[in-house]
Amino acid sequence: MFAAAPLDHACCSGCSLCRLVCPMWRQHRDPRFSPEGLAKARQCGATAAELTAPLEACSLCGACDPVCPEGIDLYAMVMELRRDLSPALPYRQALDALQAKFALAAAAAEAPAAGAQFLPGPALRAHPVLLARVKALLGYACAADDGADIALALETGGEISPARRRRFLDRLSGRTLAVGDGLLLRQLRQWLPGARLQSLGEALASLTTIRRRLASTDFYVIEPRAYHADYERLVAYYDRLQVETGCALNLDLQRIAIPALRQALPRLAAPLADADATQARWMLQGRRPQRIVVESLADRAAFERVCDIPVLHLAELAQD
Amino acid sequence: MNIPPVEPGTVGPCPVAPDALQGIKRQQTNPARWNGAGWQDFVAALRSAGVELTEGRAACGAYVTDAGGTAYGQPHGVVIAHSAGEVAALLRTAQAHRVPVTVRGGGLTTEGEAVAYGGVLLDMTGMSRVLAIDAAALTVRVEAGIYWHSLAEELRREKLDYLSAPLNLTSSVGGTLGVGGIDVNSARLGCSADQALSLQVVTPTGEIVECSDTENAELFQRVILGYGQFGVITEATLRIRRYTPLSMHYYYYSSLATAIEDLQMLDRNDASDYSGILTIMDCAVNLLVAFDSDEREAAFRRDWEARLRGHGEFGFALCMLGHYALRPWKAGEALYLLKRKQAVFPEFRRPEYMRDGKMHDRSVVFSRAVWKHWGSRNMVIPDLATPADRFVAAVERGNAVCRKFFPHYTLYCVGIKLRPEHRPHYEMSCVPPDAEGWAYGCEFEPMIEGEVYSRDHFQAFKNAIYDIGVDLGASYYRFGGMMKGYIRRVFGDALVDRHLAMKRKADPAMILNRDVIF
Amino acid sequence: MRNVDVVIVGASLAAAAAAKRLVDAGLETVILERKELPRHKICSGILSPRGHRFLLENFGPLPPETLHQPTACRGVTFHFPSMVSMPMDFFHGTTPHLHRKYSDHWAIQRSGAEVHDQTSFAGLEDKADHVLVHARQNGAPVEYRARQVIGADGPSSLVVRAVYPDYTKQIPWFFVGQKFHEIIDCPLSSDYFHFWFHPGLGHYTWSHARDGRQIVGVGFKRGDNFAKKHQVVEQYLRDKHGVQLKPAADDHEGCAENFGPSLINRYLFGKGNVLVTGQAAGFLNMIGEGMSCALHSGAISGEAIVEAQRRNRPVQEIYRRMIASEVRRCSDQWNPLKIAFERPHEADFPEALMKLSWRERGLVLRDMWRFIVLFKEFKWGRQIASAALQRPLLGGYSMQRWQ
Repeated sequence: MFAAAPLDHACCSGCSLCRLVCPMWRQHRDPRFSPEGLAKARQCGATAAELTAPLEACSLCGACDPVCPEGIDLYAMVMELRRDLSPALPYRQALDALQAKFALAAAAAEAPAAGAQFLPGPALRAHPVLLARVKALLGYACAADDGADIALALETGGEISPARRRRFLDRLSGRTLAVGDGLLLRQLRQWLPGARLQSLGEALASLTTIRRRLASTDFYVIEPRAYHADYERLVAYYDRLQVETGCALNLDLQRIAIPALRQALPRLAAPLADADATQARWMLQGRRPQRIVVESLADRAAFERVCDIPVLHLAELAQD
Repeated sequence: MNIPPVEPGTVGPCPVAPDALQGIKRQQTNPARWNGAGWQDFVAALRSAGVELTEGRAACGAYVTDAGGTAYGQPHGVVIAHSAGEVAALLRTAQAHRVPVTVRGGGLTTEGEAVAYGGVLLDMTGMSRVLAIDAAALTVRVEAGIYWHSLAEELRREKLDYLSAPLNLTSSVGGTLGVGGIDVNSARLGCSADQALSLQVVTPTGEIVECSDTENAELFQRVILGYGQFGVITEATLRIRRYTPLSMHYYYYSSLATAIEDLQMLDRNDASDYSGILTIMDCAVNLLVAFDSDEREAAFRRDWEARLRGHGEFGFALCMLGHYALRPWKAGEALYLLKRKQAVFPEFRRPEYMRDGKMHDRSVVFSRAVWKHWGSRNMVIPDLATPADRFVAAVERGNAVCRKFFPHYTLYCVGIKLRPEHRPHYEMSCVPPDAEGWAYGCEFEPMIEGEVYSRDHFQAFKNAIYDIGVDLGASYYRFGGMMKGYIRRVFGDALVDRHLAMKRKADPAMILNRDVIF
Repeated sequence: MRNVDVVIVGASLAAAAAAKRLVDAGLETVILERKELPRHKICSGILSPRGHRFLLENFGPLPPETLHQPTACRGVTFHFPSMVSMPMDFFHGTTPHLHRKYSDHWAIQRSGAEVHDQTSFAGLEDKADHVLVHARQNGAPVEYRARQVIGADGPSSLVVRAVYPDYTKQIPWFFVGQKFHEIIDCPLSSDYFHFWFHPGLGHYTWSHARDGRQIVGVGFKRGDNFAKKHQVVEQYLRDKHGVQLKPAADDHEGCAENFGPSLINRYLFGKGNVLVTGQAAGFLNMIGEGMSCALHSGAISGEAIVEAQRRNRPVQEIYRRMIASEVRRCSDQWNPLKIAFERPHEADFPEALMKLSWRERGLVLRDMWRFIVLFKEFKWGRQIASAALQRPLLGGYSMQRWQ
């Protein structure tokens, strides 16, 4: 007789399970800095502006989403609040400039040939050698337009013009895609329901040439955003990977990926600071791997900051 | 005419005073909000003492209720604890200004114990770090606001584990030590509170005191299982152990009494490392038994398994099939059982938590299942704790109450090993006064299933369960809030008044967790 | 214009209960009361044990000022035309004899809500996301803007009239009046509330002691003459029970009552952002006591608003789902199947009946039947039967019949 309630912040019953996996909470130890804190504040009528500090601190790792027993889309809640907050950010201009820079590069891109593609993202694109190796390993074309501006807009709550979105998606629809940026991957799943999508990490780790080079003394670092966006499938995928290779993973007891980086919104473009790498330190606590293998190149910097263990990108595992 | 408000708990010479209600002596359980006298002076004093206090609707609104969801109250301000020194400064100032302080850990109370009816809410989760792990002595020192899950995360990096903790990862260590804490290994290792070797406590007057069985023993006895009346636990040293995965066995019963007798038989004979009963109503009663080592498991298989009267999963399914084939009018119940089985069972066998048939991270498996399949907006779980011999009666009577109030429910029963040398800790606690060897506890948990009930419906249900406790001379896993009305009935005036006198001495302005017990 | 979370109309016990829930959850709440507080209230004042428990649990022990003499009541005595009398003690001990003027004021004060007395409700406009409430304070118009409004203003509720303009014409109305007599000699025990199942006296006939005087009260279908009806009762008490009273003082009183809605599951719970609760919604226990269900339903209306605001859900839906438990409790008392096979009341009628001889039991049942026939004209029979059957089949009473 009554309609079902939508699963939004209003459904939060305050179990605190999301706090256990939230890197922002781990750093601040303050209930306001957690998805639960945001949801509760929303229930009490707080606006995005009043929640600026936690919204800036959130790294959008998505760890909270799979643990919520109510099934609330916490990721969507944070994204929505960030979009509300975005125009008022004092550093909005700098972000817009960065986004415009990426967009300019994308606009120059030519239409790609048919077939599978991978979208490397700016970090990987800055390493031409590694980029070439990924291309060779996967046998996919490297997309000239990898939507870096769109990924940045998603992350910072910026605006994406419909024309830009259409142009980007038209070139991708119906293809097999390996996506480097976890946020973009999550969004593409909604935008391109017909496409075959994988994270770059999963695509590479599925290659036998790479997989058989993973050793039990390795510490394998899953890129958390892509992992949590498709948790139920990937938890089984990486569990098999762990059984097959014996390597340690950056998973906590709940099998939630611990992010290596915890860069708050205002520091996105800034060089890595010590506080940004506390997560990497926590990951390595009580562990002494011989190598660290990362799916996302951005994570490498965090580890290099806190230890002298060799850090390899997944693609670097394959021998020439 | 201005009618002076009467303090809760005072009983005048009047035939309609609370004790005129035969059988249901009740006290004010939704307390009036503290009137805020002198709040601004207090805030100024607190600020000058360097303690950060947050006011405002968004900050306070997050704490408006607890996991029970039936008691509501707003603090005037919130302090997030960062250090014992800060907690001490807060309590000293509060004592001087007579401002009530309510302490909250995981907020998993069910009777409003962690709800502030005005005054300050002290959120202990700010103090949630592991301070030192001693792998040789098998002890750990933690800040008391830490969640058991966070503790487990850190211990596991060292291949260690806690002894026993509530089947709920977001309860805090401090909160648990204050009320008990029951795990499926409590029949062997005792309640979580019994693991504490020593504590750092901030007394209600703001002194920071280290206490243990040998140092300040009296304070230690009062704070352990003391419901937050005699101090705020800021740090704790706990016993820990080496980590082991465990092998689980399940036996199914259709009779509560038989399953409980078997559970008690296992406990008496130390036949298993873990034991407990989890039911789907009173139709499918699951006795779970688990082991830390292959030797213990083999000994159980050899000596005890044949004596259990439960069935395996397949055998039980056949029994149920027969049972419901003869009772077609109960088809709805059968369907529910089936649905429930399909939803819950896989949760306990998720492949990522299993290796070689053994369960890793039991606490995660149980806690996730607890929240997903039993949790809801209202954690309504009245419970009874009785000596072993009265347990069957308590569970059966409670079961009848559940049937009356809710279409579906779960019972969770477990034994609690008592440590004779901890008798003083147990005084006026969840451990029934006349229990010897083991106490047994049962939680009665209705399945809310998206339904909306009035608080009165929940309260009437809880009262009906708690009344059984009074009748049987039992105690409860936890008490406070609405349970206040039961404390004198269960423990008698003499004992309660003795504790009240101690409380008044320790906390002259009666500021600390004032609406929980007295 | 004052902007608040919730406006409650009427400073009654239901209002105090609702306000307690709202204030506890931090919602800004204003109670509007037509009269000056503390205000007089026509009522027998005999609270049921369940109501007493509610007051204790939510407002604390009652101060002596809130009680009449004798301060407590042990139970109810039923009297029948065949001169059988059945005293029944309440299950849970004595209950207070409330002085409504002061008990209501005490509860309202303890709720912590802001009270605007001498402020009469004059109408409301539901604007979907808020409600405008018009009122007159000492004659001058005042306005409130609230997210929700609770009507807790009793049987002749102005809020009900504003929301359901035709409702008052749809139900039968009764008049209930009481007079206060100095006692010469009264053999009726002052420990009990006395009730007569006598069709010749009225639809609702009672007597009990208060502050050294004896109350003689009678309820009847609106239109009859109170003085005449009362005289018949007084005469009957003198002749049959030997109750010798002095003529009544001037301070007699009476009011309109709406019993029936809880009997036939025809409750009114409001529309949109306006909730109706207490006796305005139709809650009345069978013994004619409305305070305990007013307290509980009032509390539920407050809970529903808290829940609806926090969960961002339609308040009417939440309220109706929550109120189902109180509807069951209240309507069970009128449900013949429940009365016959269970114990829905707070005193044990079946046990008292079993204490009688076979002959007396027969007389009691005959007299009760004759009394029930008095209500035949309202044609409730089929509705009672259907409600009684719904209870075991649906596990509750149909929400479809609520307005």
